[in-house]
Amino acid sequence: MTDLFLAFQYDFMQNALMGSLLVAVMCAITGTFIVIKRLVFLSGGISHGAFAGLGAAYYLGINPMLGALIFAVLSAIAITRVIIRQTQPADATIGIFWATGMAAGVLFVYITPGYAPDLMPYLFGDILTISKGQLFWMMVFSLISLLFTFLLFRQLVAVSFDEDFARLRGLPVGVIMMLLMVMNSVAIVMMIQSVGIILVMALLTIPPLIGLTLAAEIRMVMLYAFLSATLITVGGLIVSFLIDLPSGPAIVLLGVTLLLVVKLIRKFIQSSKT
Amino acid sequence: MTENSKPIVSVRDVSFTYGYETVLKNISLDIYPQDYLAIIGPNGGGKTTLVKIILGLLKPDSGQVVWSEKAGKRKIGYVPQFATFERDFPLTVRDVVLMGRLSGRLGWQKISIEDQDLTTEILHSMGLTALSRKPVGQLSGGELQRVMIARALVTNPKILFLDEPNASIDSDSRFKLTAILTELNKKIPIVLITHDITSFASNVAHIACVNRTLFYHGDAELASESLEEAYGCPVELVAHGVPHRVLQEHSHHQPAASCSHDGAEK
Repeated sequence: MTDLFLAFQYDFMQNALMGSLLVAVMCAITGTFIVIKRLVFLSGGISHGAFAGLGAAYYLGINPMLGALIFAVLSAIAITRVIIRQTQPADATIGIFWATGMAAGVLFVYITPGYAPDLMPYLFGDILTISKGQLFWMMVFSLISLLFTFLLFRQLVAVSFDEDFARLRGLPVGVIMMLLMVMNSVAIVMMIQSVGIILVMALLTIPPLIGLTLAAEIRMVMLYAFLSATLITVGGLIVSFLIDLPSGPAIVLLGVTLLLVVKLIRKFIQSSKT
Repeated sequence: MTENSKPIVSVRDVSFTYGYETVLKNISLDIYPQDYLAIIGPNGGGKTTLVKIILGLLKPDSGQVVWSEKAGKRKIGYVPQFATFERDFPLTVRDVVLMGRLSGRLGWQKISIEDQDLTTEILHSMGLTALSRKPVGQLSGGELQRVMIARALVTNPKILFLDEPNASIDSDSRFKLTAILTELNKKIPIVLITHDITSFASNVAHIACVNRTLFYHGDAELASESLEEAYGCPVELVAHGVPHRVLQEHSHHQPAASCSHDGAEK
């Protein structure tokens, strides 16, 4: 245990801790909307689509996370357009983005001259290697997301709850959906650092589901989602440090365990009431 | 011409196709102040599509919907079918009703004292005061129905549309709903889509039978069985009637001038 306290004196551990908190903020806000608006699969499409950008950036020799960010935002806009216009089935479109993103990403990495990079950290995350620069951008985007959600909270809830009604109130539903999806795609890229492209769906779903189990009012759901996300990201960080496990899978498995425990306790309380 | 004889909304020669399928063809009808119109017809006959076109949620391929000035945008109350949103959505009854006070503006919208007061008043009038802090996911079908009506009413609508309001509620709630709508109809016109015309039969002034085209639009008491047979309106409607005698007792609700038209000549 003293090892752990000593460890937090290191810069990289402090960065990882800060990163975990920021990831928790992001997943509480965006994850809650994603879960209640049934956008989980869409978010998977965006995160896997982002891999194409990551690969392309690698090939061009620029920051891979920047490439991922650009591609994630572009795929979010493209998929949302298809959904709004209903020109073709949404789930099929998402599937295409999903697979194409991965295929293009791998090809870009393959044709890049020199040593093939280790893709594991991008696919499954490594919060211990988070840099000060990344932390800075995570902080900027978290603040923008918080401000955006605060300013548009009622509109976002109305559009998530009932698009037709929101439209009748005169709200620009397409614009709001687009903004929400762009915010989600930025959050997804920020989370890739800690849990990776493949596991990002766990962070988007588990904390909001814990929130939904514990609360029936959206602000409280977000609060519980934030608390549980903090618990599992920081917990995952500690576990991965103490017994040298990859942080992404540690966070996900810790999260699923917490979700099950919360559900069981709730079930127990409900059955003891009746 | 009296005020009441001018339509609040006119549907003019509206057609709508979905892919290759013609959902609606050349529909024309008028809705008048104080009207109580039931849109009936078989499943897949285009009833909901027609209402969504009137509401401006869908764009017709041809034809137009003309609103009178006093019932402009955002003065329309709409009560959708239950299936349109997720039941486990984390909102309380009061939150959902307050949603009706949103304007179309982006940016921070404060909930004013007026919004709060109106919401409290309408929750009370719908018999929902005791449920106002309850999550919508825990309501019965009839309770949720009243919440949706309350949400529509806080918008101060000049007209109220309801899509299958009887679909998933028990008979006690149906009775309450009928009473609520009759009371509302003293102030604003009501348009409802229904399969089950019998529970509204005593109040409905006009019937529009829609199955791709408008087969009949006119006084409820004129909708005879033979007409329904000829134009293919749903069998269940024929089976329980549109009992003439019930309808005729109440036909005095409507000014004669607004009846027996198909809207096309306006």
